[in-house]
Amino acid sequence: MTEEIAALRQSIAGVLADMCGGRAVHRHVAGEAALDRALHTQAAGLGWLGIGVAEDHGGVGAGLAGSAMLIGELARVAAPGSFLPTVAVAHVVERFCEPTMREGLLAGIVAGKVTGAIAARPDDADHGDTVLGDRSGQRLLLGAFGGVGLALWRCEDAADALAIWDMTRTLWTVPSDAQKLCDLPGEAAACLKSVTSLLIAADCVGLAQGIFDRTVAYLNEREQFGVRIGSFQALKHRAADMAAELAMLEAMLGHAVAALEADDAEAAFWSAGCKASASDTAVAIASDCLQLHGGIGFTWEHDCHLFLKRARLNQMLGADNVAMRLRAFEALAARALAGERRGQVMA
Amino acid sequence: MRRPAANDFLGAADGPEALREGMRRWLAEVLPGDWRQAYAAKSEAAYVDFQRWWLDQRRRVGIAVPGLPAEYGGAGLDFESQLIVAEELARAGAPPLEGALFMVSLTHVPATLLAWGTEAQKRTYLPGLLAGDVWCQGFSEPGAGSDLASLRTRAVRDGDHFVVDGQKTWSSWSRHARYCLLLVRTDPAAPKHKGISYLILDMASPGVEVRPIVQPTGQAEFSEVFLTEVKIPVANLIGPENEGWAVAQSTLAAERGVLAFERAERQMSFVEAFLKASLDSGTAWTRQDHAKAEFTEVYARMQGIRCLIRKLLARPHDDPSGADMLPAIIKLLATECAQHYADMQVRFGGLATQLQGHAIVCDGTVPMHDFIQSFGDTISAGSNEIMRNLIAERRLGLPRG
Repeated sequence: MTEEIAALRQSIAGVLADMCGGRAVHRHVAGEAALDRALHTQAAGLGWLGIGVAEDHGGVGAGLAGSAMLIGELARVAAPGSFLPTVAVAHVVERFCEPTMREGLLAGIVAGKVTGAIAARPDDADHGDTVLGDRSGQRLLLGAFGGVGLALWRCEDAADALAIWDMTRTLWTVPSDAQKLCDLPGEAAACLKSVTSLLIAADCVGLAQGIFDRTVAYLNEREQFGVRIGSFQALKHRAADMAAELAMLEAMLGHAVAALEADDAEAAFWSAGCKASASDTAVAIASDCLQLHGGIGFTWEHDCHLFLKRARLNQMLGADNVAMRLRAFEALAARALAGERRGQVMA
Repeated sequence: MRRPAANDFLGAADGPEALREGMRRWLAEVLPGDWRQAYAAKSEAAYVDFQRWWLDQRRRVGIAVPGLPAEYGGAGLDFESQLIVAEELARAGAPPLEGALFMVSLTHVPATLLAWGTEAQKRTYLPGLLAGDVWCQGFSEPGAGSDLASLRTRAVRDGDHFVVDGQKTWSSWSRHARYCLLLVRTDPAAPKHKGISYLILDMASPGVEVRPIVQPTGQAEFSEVFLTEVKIPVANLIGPENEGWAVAQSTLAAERGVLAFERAERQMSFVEAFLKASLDSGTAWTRQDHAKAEFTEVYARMQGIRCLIRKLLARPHDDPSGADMLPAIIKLLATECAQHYADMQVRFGGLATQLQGHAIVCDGTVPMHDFIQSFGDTISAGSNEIMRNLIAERRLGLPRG
């Protein structure tokens, strides 16, 4: 990670620590405060929404690495909102929209006036019209709906949110009032897939780290049998395994980001593979963290279930993980048969 | 004939790309492509001879110990160049250092002596490494495995000698070794980490007896070493008396740098070769979705581990460990990933993997051998359970049990 991104991360984490503690998220979940809106306004004010957008287009210019970092930090505190689809849409708009349209759309996104929304499960016949993003306000919707190719749509009317287990994000069905702004080329569809996979992976690594840190703190504080439970090897070893998995996932994510930024031939392999690994592992870690909390983890008031449900939704977004690995395998096999060797390590 | 200087021959002086090209050219010229098959059917003695021949080939171009300073006969390659050498050796499937005859002499000995040795010790022992001196390690004891610091082999000072009595075990290749890196207790009254000293033992000394231990693979790579009133000169003390524990950390750290890197690169080469061979022959698993998905997951993990190793190696050398315990994390992940990979190959291969061929087996050729052998790595060099303790206590700050 560059020094610039490390500095940005620190400032983002500081703001989130103030605004998005466990109690604030629970108040949001209870419908007592619209934390998602408050965060979005704050994010716009601080320039976060343009973190991956080039400086020439009004952004921060931190690229995909910056976007992945932002999504990870938000997930670390289970922040509610539509940041992931908004950042994904901004990346595709920046690369594939005509200049005049691009400038206006990006300005709206960066200023926080418009949010992004994407198909939750683009290739799934049963859920092709299901969308991830804010359900109201000015929205730019990106997807291949109604059997046509990828297009960008504008929505304004509020849609009915689907009732889902994850209470930090929103799913809805494409409304009839959506107006098509432009068609996008096939490369844009591939780019959207890779960027979305990568950001989902970033969300997974962030949320897993977030609940893991809370769990380590709990193991260090909770006493039973007269000692802190973190001194029991049976629990300690599980924590160590989770720490190792997280370190590896972070490295894998960094590699996937670098591959996509370099437009490497293996980029699609890494974003798909990384999404599959990160989301399966995030579910496993969030599950074990709930178990390690014992009774207190099995309460509504505690944070564990928020993270576990968020991890589960992530696992289902984009595409089924086995399908993603099979797609990745085909890419590997093609390379192997062509006699090419050795994935380069970029990071 | 004048021996070509390493840097001239392999192009290290002309930058990383020239060195890489030089390595590839040299490997294509000198390395028999079928060495694994050729040695699979032969005896251990033949394999030992082959390793000696290979060390000599490496020595001729200056890469026996790539980082060894020129004043001790090495090529003095910088760190980046050392990685290129390791990467290209692995990529070409050259005979591995790890688990092989010269692992300790080419890895652990230079790391230990360069950090702690006297000038006289460096001049006495380092040039011999290039000439093929085999070294072994005398660390573990029957009663001191994971709890290494409880070791009981006793050394009593007697004038200009120590007199040593005790028993060492799991000492790899000690039957062929000329010297041994030996940990002994010199102050039984001190707390266990404080009374240990680090000695160089000449394996030809009277009172040294080596008895092989056969592993579950059928091979006998390591041995027990019995020490009865063995006299070791005080001049063979590495580092200060009673501070051997600190010296031993340098020895152990050596495994976590270039050696871990080479292991990961080699593993990736095996995986890529396995995939290609499976696809070429249309093996059943390449048509099964669950198998393809599992292979992809293992491949992705391996790549993640390679990234972690590079992150570790990119650190300044005066900060080899750090509080994040990255070396322990890498050891844990890499050895279990290798075990998973071998396990997967066995399952993919079916009954055919249960037929046994040759006595001498090289890693990467026989899945069942690799699977059985993989436990050597999850147990040795600090068992993975010890790694988990280290990670939990030092990285996560959890209380000691």
